[in-house]
Order: sequence, then structure tokens, then C-alpha cells
Amino acid sequence: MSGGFRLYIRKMIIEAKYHYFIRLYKNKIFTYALYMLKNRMDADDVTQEVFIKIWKNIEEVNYNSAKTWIIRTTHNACIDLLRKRGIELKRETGIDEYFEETYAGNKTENDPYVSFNMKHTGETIKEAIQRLPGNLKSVFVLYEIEELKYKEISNSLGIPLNSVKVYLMRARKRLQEELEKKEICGAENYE
Amino acid sequence: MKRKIFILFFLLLTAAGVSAQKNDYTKDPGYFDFSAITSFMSGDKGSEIMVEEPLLKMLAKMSGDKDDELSRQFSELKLIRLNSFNIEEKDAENVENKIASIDKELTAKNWDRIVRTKSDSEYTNIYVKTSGSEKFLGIVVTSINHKTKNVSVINVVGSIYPELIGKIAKDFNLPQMDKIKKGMGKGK
Amino acid sequence: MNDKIVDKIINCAYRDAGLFTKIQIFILTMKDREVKELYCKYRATASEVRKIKEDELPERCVEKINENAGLKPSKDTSFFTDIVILFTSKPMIASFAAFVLLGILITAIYIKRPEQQIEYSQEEILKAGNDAKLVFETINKAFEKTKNEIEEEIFKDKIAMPLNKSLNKISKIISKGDIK
Repeated sequence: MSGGFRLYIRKMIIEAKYHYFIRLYKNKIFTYALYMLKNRMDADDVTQEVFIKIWKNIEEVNYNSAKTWIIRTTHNACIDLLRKRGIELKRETGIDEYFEETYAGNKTENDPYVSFNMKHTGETIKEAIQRLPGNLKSVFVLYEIEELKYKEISNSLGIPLNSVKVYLMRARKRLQEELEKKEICGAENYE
Repeated sequence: MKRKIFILFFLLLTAAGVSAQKNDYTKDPGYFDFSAITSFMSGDKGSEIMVEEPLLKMLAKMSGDKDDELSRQFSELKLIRLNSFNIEEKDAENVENKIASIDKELTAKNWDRIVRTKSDSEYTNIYVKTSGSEKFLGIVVTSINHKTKNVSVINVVGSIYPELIGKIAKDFNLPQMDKIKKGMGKGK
Repeated sequence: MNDKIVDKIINCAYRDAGLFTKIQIFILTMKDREVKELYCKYRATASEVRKIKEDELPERCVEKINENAGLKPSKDTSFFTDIVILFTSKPMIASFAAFVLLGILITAIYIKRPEQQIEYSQEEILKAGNDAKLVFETINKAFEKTKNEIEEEIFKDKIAMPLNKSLNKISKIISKGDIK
């Protein structure tokens, strides 16, 4: 087999692999970023960034471990962007134990993109998920919407398996509280 | 994705298996294996007739112009087989025992013995495999003649219309069939 | 209702619970109204959550992703991509499976083909016709022999004759008026 032909086959395989990852993960990355950042433009940027990283490491990325690596990269990219937005984070364990305190204080009404999106998505549950504290939201979105398993979430976010289960349970309770709060108070808090 | 591919390959495998078995009449309920008895054939003096599905389909096609019923019958047959041979005196008892065990085997497999005749030292049994409808799924005939030391076994496999058996015996004639007499009743 | 029970109710509502937990909560919902209400609330939320799908990345972003890598956009190459991925992700297993199945498919086609492609000469077909007729004649003869035996020998000699004899006797008796 000539060198040129071998290179061509190699290029074909790499491109096929990249297209495969795009097809499989583009919506996962975008959805996760959207929930984390609450902002379509930022979610776009993070998605681009993650795929650039995938392309740069395309030959090393293993099919079996791709999912957890990609989600971890997305999560880290989101955190970096949030930090740039001026939110202090503590990253001792990958997921900030105090994320809840810091991020939860970030009122959505200050963010024009967020209030715009919230008014116009019209989906109560999505809004309520958006309002969950960061660490709980990560686990909830990955489990319920992106359908990752406990082990995958644990590996992606770098937290113990039991913490995943605890956060998920808390997220579900918090979500229920948010929904009940909205029922009682009406939509006025969100205008 | 991988599941899709493997499902596709599994379907291909099944299709391959099914298609490979399509013409395998040995799996048919009307089939019976006579190898246990044909092994007693003495010398080379024996006749064998074996008409398989492709030829039967040709017969169906050719008789279609003359008679739709006969055409339909041939198109639904899968195998017509006849073995007729002589046996040694010493094997007569064994052959009789073999025929008796064939009788047991067929009845155990839910074949119905509809004819059992004995005349002039010739014993003949006819078995049919029924399907619950009017058609037979198979016919088996075993016959032994102690005088001539001749054994004949017949197996017809496929959907058989009983009322057409006589019609084929008496009326079936392709054009120019009379001219081809050589090899009639002899092996292929 | 303690925290443990609440957690179990939530797990059941989100279909995360094991069989025994499901049975336990089911029994509780039948007995305790509060449990049932809580379960229904969470169940309703869980159903809504389940309906949420992943957001679709806009097409222009996908184009940009391909541009960043210097690639043309992939259009309908998914099946081809899947084949390449299958062979490159687990080459040994995939290749082996593919070769085996391909071999089976080729063998099956090869086995089937000769029968379909054989052309019979007219002589062969006519001989087959004669052979078929001979076999059916043999079968028919056996049936007719049996029929004759039943009609001529069994019925006539063994049943009809004695029956006739008896009937004759009876008619003679009746005509003579002699009942014995």
C-alpha cells in the first residue's frame, strides 16, 4: 500500500470519527451548556470550544471513554466561562460544594438573555431546572435529560458515586419546591 | 449505532439461514428417511425415482395449459421418491422387522396408517400425514413381496390433494411423454 | 413519613427504584393518603421531566464546527460513518463478525444458486413426468386394490353374503308364517 493511499485512508477514518462524535454529542454538549449558562450564545461558544478540543485530540479520544471525557470538557468549559462572567467558584472537588451559595445568588432578572429566554420558552419545568443550584443542576440535567448513568456522571464530574445520588435526590426535591413556589406565587417573580 | 449494525447483521444471518433451508425438504413433516431399509438392497438391481421441487415446478408449468388442477398439484409438491429393489433370502426377516419398526416410527410421528393389505405374499402399508385440512402433507408406501423378494418404498412430500392421486395416475400426460419410455422406472 | 420513605417515594416516582421498594411504596399509597399525594406530585413532575428532549444545536453552529476543523459538512454519511466506526472502534471483533456473517451469506447464496440456475432439457422434464406418473400409479393401485378387497371380498363374502343369507332365511320364515 503506497504512503499516499495510507494517508488518505487515515484521513478518512479520522474524519469519519469526528463526524461520528459531532452527530452523537453535539446536542448533548449544547443542552448541557445551555442549562449551565442559561444563554444560547454562550452555549454556542462552549460547544465550538469543546469540538475544537475534540478535533485536536481526535486520534487519542477513545470511543469507550469519549462520553465522559466530552461531558467533563464541557462542564469545565462552562465553569471557566461562568468564572469569566465574574462568579467566584471553588473547584476543590470538581463540583463546587458552595456553588449553591454563590451561583444561586445570581438573580436571573439581571441577565437580559435569561429573562428573555425564560419568558419566551414558556416551559415551566425547564425554567425551574434552570433555577436549580449549579451542582444539583449538573447532575439532574446529565441524569434526567442526557440520560447518563450514575457511574458516567461520577466520572465526568469527578465526584463520588454516592454524591451523584445525593445531589440527584436533592435536585428532585428542590425542583418540586420550585414548582410549588411558582404555583403559589404566580409568574410575578419572573418578570 | 452499533446496535443498529449488529441488528442488521443478525437479520442478514437469519435471512441467509432461512434462504439456505428453503429447498430442504428433509425438514418437511411429510418427509421420511428410508436409508435404513434401502441399505438392504442386493447388488445393483434396483430402481430409484427422485423428482425434486425444481422439476416438479417445471411439470406444473407444462401441465398448466392442459389442466389447472394437475398444475396446482405439481406446484405444491416438494419431492416424489421411489426405491424398488430385491433382497437376499437371508435379509428377509430383517427387512420385515425394519418395516415393522418403520410402522412404529411413523405412527409415533402422528402418521395415519390408512391401508394395510396382505395378498399373494405381498404386504403393503400406506401412511398419510394429515394437516387438519383436506390435504395430505405426505404419503409413505411400504411394500414387501416375499415371493419375488422385492421391496418398494415410496415417499411423496408436499401438499397432496387425495382426489388428484387417481387423476395423475390415469390422466396425467405431457405431450410426447409416451416417446420417452426409456429409463421409465429406472434410476436417474 | 420519614426522610427515608420520602426518598423512596421520589425514587419510585422517577422510576429509579428497585422492585421491592416499588411494592413497598405501592402498598403505602394504598394505606396512606399523604403518601399517595406526595407520590402523585412527584410522578407528575417526573413525567414532565421525561418529556424534555435535548436541545438541537443550530445548523449554522454545526457548519462552524466543521469549518473550524477544516472539513466539509457531513451530509447523510451516517451509515458509512457507522461502518467505519464499527471497524475502527473494535476492529478485531467487528471484522471477525463481519467475515463470518459474510461467509454464511455467500455460502447460502451459493447453495441456493445452482438449483435456480439449472435448465432442464425437455427429455429430463418428460422423464420426470413419467416417473411421477409411475409413482402415483403405484399408490393408486394400492388404494384400488384395497377398495376392491373391501367391496369384493370383505363386504361381499364376509358381510354381504352372510347378511343376504340371513335376510333370505327371514323372508322365507315370514312368508311361511312360521316364526321360530
